[in-house]
Amino acid sequence: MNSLKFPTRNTPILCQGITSEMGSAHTELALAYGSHIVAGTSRDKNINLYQDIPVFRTVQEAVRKTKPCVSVIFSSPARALGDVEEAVRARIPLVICTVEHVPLHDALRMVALACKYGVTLIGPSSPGIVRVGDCLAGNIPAHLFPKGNIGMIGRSSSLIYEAVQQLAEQNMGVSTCVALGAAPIVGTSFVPIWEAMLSDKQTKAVLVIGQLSGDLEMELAIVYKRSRRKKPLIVYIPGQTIPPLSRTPLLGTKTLNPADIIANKKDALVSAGAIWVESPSEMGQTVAKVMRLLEKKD
Amino acid sequence: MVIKEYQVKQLFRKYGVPLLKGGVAYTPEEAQATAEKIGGSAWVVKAQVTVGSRTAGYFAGQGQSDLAGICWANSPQMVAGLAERMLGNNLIVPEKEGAGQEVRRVYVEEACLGQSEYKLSLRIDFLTQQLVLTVISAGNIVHRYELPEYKLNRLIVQRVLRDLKLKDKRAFNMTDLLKKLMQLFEGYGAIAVEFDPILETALGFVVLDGRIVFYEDSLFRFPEIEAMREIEVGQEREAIAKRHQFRYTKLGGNIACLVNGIGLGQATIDLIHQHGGQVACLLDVGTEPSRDAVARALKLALSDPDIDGVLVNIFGGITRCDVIVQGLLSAAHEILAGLPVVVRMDGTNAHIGRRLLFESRLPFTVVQKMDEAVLEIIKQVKELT
Repeated sequence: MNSLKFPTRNTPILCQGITSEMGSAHTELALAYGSHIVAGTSRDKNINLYQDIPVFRTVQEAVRKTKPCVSVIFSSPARALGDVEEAVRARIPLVICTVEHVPLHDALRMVALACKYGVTLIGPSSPGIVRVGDCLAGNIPAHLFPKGNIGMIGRSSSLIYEAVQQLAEQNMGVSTCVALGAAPIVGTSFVPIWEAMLSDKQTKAVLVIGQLSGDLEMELAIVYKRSRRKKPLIVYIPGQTIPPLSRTPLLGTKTLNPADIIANKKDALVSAGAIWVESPSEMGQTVAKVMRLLEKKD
Repeated sequence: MVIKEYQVKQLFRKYGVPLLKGGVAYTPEEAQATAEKIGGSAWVVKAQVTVGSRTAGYFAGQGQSDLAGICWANSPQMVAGLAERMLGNNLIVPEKEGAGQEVRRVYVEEACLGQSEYKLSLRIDFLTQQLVLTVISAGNIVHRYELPEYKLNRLIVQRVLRDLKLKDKRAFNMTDLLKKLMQLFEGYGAIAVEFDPILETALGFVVLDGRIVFYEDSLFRFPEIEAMREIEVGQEREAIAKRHQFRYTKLGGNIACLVNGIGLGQATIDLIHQHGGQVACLLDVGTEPSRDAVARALKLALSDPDIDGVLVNIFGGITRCDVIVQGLLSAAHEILAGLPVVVRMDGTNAHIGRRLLFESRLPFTVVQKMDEAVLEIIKQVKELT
């Protein structure tokens, strides 16, 4: 797989589903933000132009005529797989799928396809990527993000925005934010995004908002421990005080207590050198403390 | 979503899974008639509930603790007797505390003896995002296989047969079972499908029981499965939430949390617990809730006698705080019932939302920050109780 490059204001972007309610609303916001949207696709046969942007029937045609490097997909749960498949087969290097409630097997098929074609798939239920003050790809409310030098990677979106607010209260801002969404299957895990943040000059430290379910934090802990190049990594994961859910265990599985799951993730991350945030109201303060220490060192 | 054994068997039968003769019964008379129709000399009566291991379960009520959720009978009259004792009573299983689940139907099946037992399970492992096949053979030996590209290829099948030391006709029959497991898994876009247990009889393999774990967001493609959804006693609030497009999770304390998004919800729960409060339930209205969903969620919280206060914690991104407030206000009648409602909102259109709350003159406590809000609701609830 190609290494991930964050889109900038020069990156040509395709918007699949540009005439849908979500697609048109977020395309307008992205255009106002300065994103370089070069094409759209729509099932509506009568629309060939949307706000001076050419609209095509197929991704293939859009790619041939406008050569986008990123596709942002606005679609329905039933059609998301078909739309991702189109973008992946057209070999657009970065595909951001923003559709919530995608059926499980469709999500798996998307991930397998993206892997086969060497395409970076963010999602399938991702709010997207924002390079603050530069480029918006997806449906992140970019107006909430002050510009700064903290990279952000997260799962569930509303908690990411809460963290942004806490950073703003500490007079800090965000360089780039990538939100993966809370759905259980993701195309791209934290690690490739972390690596892109390592290479990103504007990012001085990275705040990760993890999730109880899934294994992305453990994978990141292993990579962080091994890597020689380092930027401070600050992590908060919600859910440590949630009571265990009682459900029928499946064959060959163990049900773990949320407190134990988070304790495992914390151990792995802290022993790898990451900084742990204990309480959701301390995300901003902790990052501010880390940044002050960093400045002293310089 | 999980469905009951008799429903699982309907689906298994459709896919040609080898099953024993059996049928569902709603009354003791039906149970007896089913046994007579099946024929033979021994039957099994199985309580239809979705929880835990029924053989280890027992029934609530006097003189019922000797009765398990699965019982043998050697006459149709005995089948009727067992059904009589099970129907309308609650089965308690060791995995789940509480009052148990009411038995509304029994499944009557021909009894069957066999030599060895196997179990097959196909499931998505949400940790690794892999498709995992688990095979348990006689003597509880567990074999685990990761299936590349979410497919059951010939290589995996051959490995299973080798590990189970199956040859000829037995190998052929096991291969058939594996294929049907995969077809069911793909056919219903499921999280997991299990044949548990499989008995090897003189006539070949027969699946005695099993389960299918469905993925909620896949069910729009399977209206026939959606129609099987049954609201259990104690699950009514979850059902209301589902109907009005928000999520309700019961936790057991006395403060209800209304949030937009699971991450913010779990963070709010952590903060309340860290400050010594107890969360009763989480009401997650999601990214783009309608006014109606918010109103229904608040009403649901306030209608629960276990709840002493509500914390609304909204961070508006795509979610518009003014829409949230319109929803809260349309549940105004309930708000006046006297329980404390603390609202904290920030982000998109929060200033409009806060102004609307202020102008309503309804007894909301509006605070700026998340931890202030948590301390405030804990304080107000303490004063009340």
